[in-house]
Amino acid sequence: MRGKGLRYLLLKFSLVVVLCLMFAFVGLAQNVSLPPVNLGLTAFLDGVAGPGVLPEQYFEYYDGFQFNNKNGNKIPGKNSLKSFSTITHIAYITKLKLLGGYYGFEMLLPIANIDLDMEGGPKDKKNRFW
Amino acid sequence: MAQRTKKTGFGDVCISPFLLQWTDSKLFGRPFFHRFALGINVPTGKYNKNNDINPGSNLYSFNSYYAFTMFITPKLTTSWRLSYLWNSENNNPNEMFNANNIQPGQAFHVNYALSYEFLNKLRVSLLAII
Repeated sequence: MRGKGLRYLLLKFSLVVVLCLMFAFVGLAQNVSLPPVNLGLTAFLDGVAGPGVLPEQYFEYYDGFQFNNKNGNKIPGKNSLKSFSTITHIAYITKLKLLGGYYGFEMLLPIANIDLDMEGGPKDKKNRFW
Repeated sequence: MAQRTKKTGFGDVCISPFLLQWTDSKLFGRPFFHRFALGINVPTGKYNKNNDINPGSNLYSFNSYYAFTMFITPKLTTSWRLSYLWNSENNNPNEMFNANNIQPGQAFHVNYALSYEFLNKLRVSLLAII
């Protein structure tokens, strides 16, 4: 690791990405749910990076097949939430040093396809597509 | 009666105008890399109050994190990401909330992982998110 220097770090930085859950979920148990949140892809060398540019595109499929209520019990019926999403991640770390670290900035832009299937939804509501 | 909602569109953009990346540090004599990033989620995503689910959340979020990786051995690493989330109000919520505005709570969330390089540049990882 040491001695290989920053070129090594730049390669590794391709794994330093963040993961967004792309959907705001309304309606189950009428709770106010948390919005899409940057969970971070911490599994592989999250903290490792160095000066350079990182453009990357990654893809995610999510399939939730059981909904629980606020007490953690399964909501009866067949419910599912599927999403397919792709995220553009652009990061730039400069050689400018501040407090001993390199200054940088990054941006994530998700596009999501979401498919919510709920049994026994609110009876006074209709689905409106687009 | 089943309800189905399908949506495709942009999610909210996540912007980090400020991050600091430290390299070549040491912790307990081990190679240590860490990063702090200030994150802001801007409600640019697709949102319609009449939908049960949306790619966008219709609110601003402050979501910053501190991430680090320590090389326990050259092959064995542990990575952590500590995040804090604060949300603004959504002033146009779904009618089922029966409210003029809703505000999701704040959250402190943590990822931690252990990864091992079992082949050259190929790693396997265990990750937990709380």
